[in-house]
Amino acid sequence: MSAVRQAVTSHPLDGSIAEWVWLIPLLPLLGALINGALVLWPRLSRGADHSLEAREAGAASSLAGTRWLTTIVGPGVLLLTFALAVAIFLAMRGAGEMLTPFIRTYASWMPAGSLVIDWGIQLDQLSMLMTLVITGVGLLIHVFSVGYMATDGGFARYFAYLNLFVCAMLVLVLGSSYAVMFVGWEGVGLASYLLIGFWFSEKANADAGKKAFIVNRIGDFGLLVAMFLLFSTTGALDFVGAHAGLAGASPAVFTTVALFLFLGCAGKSAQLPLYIWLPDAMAGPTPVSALIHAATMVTAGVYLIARAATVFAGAPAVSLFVALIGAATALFAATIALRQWDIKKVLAYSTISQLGYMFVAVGTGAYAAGVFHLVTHAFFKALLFLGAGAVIHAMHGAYHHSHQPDQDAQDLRNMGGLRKYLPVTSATMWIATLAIAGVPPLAGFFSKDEILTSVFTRAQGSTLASASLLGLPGSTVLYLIYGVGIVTALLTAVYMTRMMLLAFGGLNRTGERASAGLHDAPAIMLVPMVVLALLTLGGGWLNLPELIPLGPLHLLSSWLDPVSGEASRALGGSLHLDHSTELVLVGTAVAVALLGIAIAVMKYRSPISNKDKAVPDAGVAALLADAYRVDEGLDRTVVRPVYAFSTRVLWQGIDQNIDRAFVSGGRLLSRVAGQAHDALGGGDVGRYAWVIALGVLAVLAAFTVR
Amino acid sequence: MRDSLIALDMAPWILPVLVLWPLVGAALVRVLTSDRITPGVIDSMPTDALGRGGPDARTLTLGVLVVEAVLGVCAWILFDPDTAGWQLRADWTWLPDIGARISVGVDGVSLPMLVLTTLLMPLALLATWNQITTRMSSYGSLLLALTSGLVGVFAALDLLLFYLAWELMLIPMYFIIGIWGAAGRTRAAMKYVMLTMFGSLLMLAAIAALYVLGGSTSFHLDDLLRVSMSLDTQLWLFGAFFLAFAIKSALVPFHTWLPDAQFEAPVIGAVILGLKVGTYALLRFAIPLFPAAVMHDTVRSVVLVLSVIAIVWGALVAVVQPDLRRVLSYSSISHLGFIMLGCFALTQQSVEGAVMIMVNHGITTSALFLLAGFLRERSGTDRLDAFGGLARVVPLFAVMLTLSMLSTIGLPGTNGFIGEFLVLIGTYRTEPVAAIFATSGVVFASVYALRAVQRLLFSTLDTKANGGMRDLHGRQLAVMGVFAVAMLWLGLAPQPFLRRMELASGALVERVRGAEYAKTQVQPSGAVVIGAAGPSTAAGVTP
Amino acid sequence: MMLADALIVSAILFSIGVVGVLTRRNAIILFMCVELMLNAVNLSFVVFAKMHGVGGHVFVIMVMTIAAAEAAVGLAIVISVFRHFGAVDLQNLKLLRR
Repeated sequence: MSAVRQAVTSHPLDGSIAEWVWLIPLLPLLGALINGALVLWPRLSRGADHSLEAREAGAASSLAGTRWLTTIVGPGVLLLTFALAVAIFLAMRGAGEMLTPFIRTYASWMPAGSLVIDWGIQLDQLSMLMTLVITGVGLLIHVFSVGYMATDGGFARYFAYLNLFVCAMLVLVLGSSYAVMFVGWEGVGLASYLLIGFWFSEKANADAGKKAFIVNRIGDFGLLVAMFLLFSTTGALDFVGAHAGLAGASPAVFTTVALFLFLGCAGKSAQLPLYIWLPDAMAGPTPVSALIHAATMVTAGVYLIARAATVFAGAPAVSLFVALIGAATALFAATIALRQWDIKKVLAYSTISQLGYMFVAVGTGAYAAGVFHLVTHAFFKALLFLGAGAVIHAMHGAYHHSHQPDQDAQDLRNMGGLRKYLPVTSATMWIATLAIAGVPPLAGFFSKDEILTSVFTRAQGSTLASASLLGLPGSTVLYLIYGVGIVTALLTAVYMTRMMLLAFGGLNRTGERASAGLHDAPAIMLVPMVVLALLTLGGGWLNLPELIPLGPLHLLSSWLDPVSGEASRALGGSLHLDHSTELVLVGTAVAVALLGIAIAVMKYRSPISNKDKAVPDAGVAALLADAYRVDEGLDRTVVRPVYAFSTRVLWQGIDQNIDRAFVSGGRLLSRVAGQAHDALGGGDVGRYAWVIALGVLAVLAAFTVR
Repeated sequence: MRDSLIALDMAPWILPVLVLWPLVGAALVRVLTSDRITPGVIDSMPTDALGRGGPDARTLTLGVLVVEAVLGVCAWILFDPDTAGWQLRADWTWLPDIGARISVGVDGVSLPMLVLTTLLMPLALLATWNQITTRMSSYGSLLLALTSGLVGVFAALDLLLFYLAWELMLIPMYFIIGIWGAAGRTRAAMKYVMLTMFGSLLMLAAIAALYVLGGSTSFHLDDLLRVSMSLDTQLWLFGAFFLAFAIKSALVPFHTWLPDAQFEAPVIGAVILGLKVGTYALLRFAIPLFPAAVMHDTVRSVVLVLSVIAIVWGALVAVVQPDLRRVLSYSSISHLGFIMLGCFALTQQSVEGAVMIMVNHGITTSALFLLAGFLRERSGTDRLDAFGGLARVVPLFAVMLTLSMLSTIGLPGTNGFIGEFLVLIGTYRTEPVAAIFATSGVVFASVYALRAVQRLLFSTLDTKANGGMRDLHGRQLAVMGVFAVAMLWLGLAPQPFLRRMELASGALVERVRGAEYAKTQVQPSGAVVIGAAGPSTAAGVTP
Repeated sequence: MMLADALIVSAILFSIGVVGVLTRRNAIILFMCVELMLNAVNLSFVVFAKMHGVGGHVFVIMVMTIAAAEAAVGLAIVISVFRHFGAVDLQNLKLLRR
């Protein structure tokens, strides 16, 4: 059916290289299959060995033999995919103005009555951009991983999962309907689950994976309900058809769909209150955190809101709500990040906080700004995580060689002065830190500034400003969000500088024996970091504001205009600030960033003691260090009561009693029968005879009377 | 392929043969083999050793089942997806005095179940090859009689014949649980039989009543469908049928026999108990026979609420079960809620989804019970706390368990998703509130599934004995491979199934809801929106 | 006339037998009462045979055979009860209870 629809209108990309777009998700899948086969193949032939050691040794030797293949296939498929994505991107640039998406359906998936769901790919400006980010950053992280995981026994398994993740992520962004997108949506959840629990022998890691999956499922619940509502309203689930079908729907439909969609986004993108899984997800290998839990998967929520911009544009109150939740998350996570000692935890909360910014952007209808921040964040946060990976790699190696494996390689209190030992890592991470803090002219400055500016702009005279959220006028909410954004920017600068100073500045706290073993990562890990640092330096040029005309302006905004421009204008109008106001806003943002850096430098100049000798935090600091003890609270108020309820009430209480009721019902029946028997004489044959005789008489009488 | 089968003129006799062949096989196995087996033979494995002095009961049984499976596939090929109504019919006089006939036929709802059954039986037997080693002649013949009953249930169009097949299913199962089961088998088997018997007697009474109401001339479904009944009559008779099928399919609150029976039964028994005959019968007989009762408000609300309770209840109780088998049983109870929901929401999507779940459940839960069986075969237990870190030791087992569990919780790309999604999306159109509550089941499902996966496969490998555990190999690996392919195939490309179900489920919905409703199916109906008063206008999107 | 008389006699005999079974406790007497009842029935069979043909006679022969068999088994039981309990008073025999 869709094929017919396409045939009618010709598309500029018809017959171009874009016809090969189906290869984009399939290539990583192929990589995953090859790597998976490399893992399982030796096991297939070695099932008969009885001792675990023999089996593992056999498998390990066989894996060592095929390691080169994994090294080629793992990043190789990403390289091919990236090349193909670039080629398609160039074709799109060359094809000129492309107002409608390029859609190809390959097979019917779930046809049932009026429900039509096809395996289809939708290529438009947004999915193209996402594909480039996923494959580009993904390629760099794959290359980094070759070095990072070099000595790990699960090398092939790691790449199998990682390729699987990329495949699912590409399905997510390329799917032409909500249902196909949902395949990718859950697929990335699965890959994330497997990768968080990659070192599954540690119970905590496996638990973290489980938690991530379950919390994400709460979000998926919302997404499913949104799909059901969309289908029952519009009769379609593909993006084009469903969004077109919503055209005449009542505001209540828009509101409900948008709310449930947002629940899904909040789960995947770790927004309040569903953020709880992301800090735990740091249990996975660090490149995984860089790829999945910073650059790509967690931004899927932002992608979905931009994709469903039509829906959110029809529900201004929900959009305000999204922005408000985003702001609250940004501030909340930033405060926690102030007091974390684990380098990855700092970055995790920082990611949650930055995702909050993106939700502020897409919530206020500044979809291009949100996606812009998504892209720049992918650059600098991936870089930060890879840097952290290089640091942990070095620390771990140092502790390992000095035979202190029980020392914490991720604790900032055990680092210090690493600049001397890891100069490249230090330099690249500083670039990323300045970017995330919002120091011009780095990428983060431009994207964050655009978000804050657009919030401020929309606070007056836009649809959003005149909407209201729970009785609060929209413009008040927007000013509040702007204020929160500024405060968060300050905190961001503080905690990031703190992290960098603790890790790289001051004196070394690793311990004398270990510090001798500290050294920078091998080239295969450093090259991706350098590339990302360059992208962080130049990322701002993707979308320059008019205020800073250092090159072509608004590249990204105009690129995304056919996808989300209309919705963006519907919510925010096409208002422009006058130059002086804008200058003040930019000035404020830069001033706040510099102030934050200054505060951190003042506070963390003095040397601190290492982890073993550290004084435990107290008061507010302890509360922040424990992330407001939300996990413990949830455990006490939700998890344990539900378990207890299931065990005590449902299972042991009701289920087993239903069972007992059946059994004792039977027993009761026999007892009553027995008592009746007793009453009739209980074993005295004479009395039986009487009963029989009387019975016969009664029967006779009954017949006679009648 | 299809043409050559038609040329063989297979269509008129394939179903009777499918029903009777296992019975013939059962007799063959009983006559040709004996329960007495030279001691010592079993311990040292061997099929060739058993071959001495007559055929081996297991091999013979397997042979009969393989023939049955081939015939099942032929039936699948012969079925024409674009024709409505019964196909592959056969109709013989049976008891002319009362008008009972031997009448068999399939449509898009029964065909997938029937073919699934014929394919599942040999696979299950093969996978549990060495798990049953005593009285194998009886075992084989009971298994074959059971197969005959199952196929009969799915093929019967005459209610008396259906009842016969229904009871034929019960007795062999009683013996299979009672003889080859675990320690508590007697009690579990007793409970199973008592409850099911109670239900079937009610059903028999209802069948008799229906027969009399229809003029005492025929037990045939097509004839009985024409009987007109008052609402009260429909309610009473529907109640009897519903109770019978609800007990058989273990709907909350009649579910407590299932975990016990599946726990005590031998693996193959648990697998067969997982086949959703109860809900099939509900969809085939109870729902179309009593449309007014099904559409009655109270009945609908009671069933829908029970379904939602079953979904959540099953999942929550599964979360706290100590053994893998009980986790699986309770997950079945949760799935059953989805099936009931789909059957009673009565939209094209929900009914197709319900049948899909029945099929999926037969695949996925069977795979999981077989895996639990492998675990017990290797270490004598499937208590979750007896294991940990198995992924290191038995990676192939781990892959299969993870895949099957993901299918159970409906991960997109696996078969589980198709059924759940269709049921929920279809249910939402008519019963949005029930659908929303039911959707919350996906969250709880992930909790029990991942908990089990986690406890078994991840964490540290704690016991030395588990370290020497053998991975899947040979026969077991092959069977599991088939299941894996089926799960992914049905998840990625279910349209061969959906296409065959389309007409039959459409006809069912139309029969119950009336032709008026069927028309509205073409144009999407107005959605019910939380907090919205007026229905939205549907845009003109052609289906 | 003769028919009615015979049936009345039969009924009286039967009732005597029933009352005997219900009131007496001695096993031997019980036996005799049972025989009385059987013969009352036989009497009515014979009487009816006069009207309905030979079937009644066949039944009488049948009943006598059964009665003989019953007496043989029953007396054997009574003897073994006597050997076991030293009495044939049914009042004291309540083994069915346990």
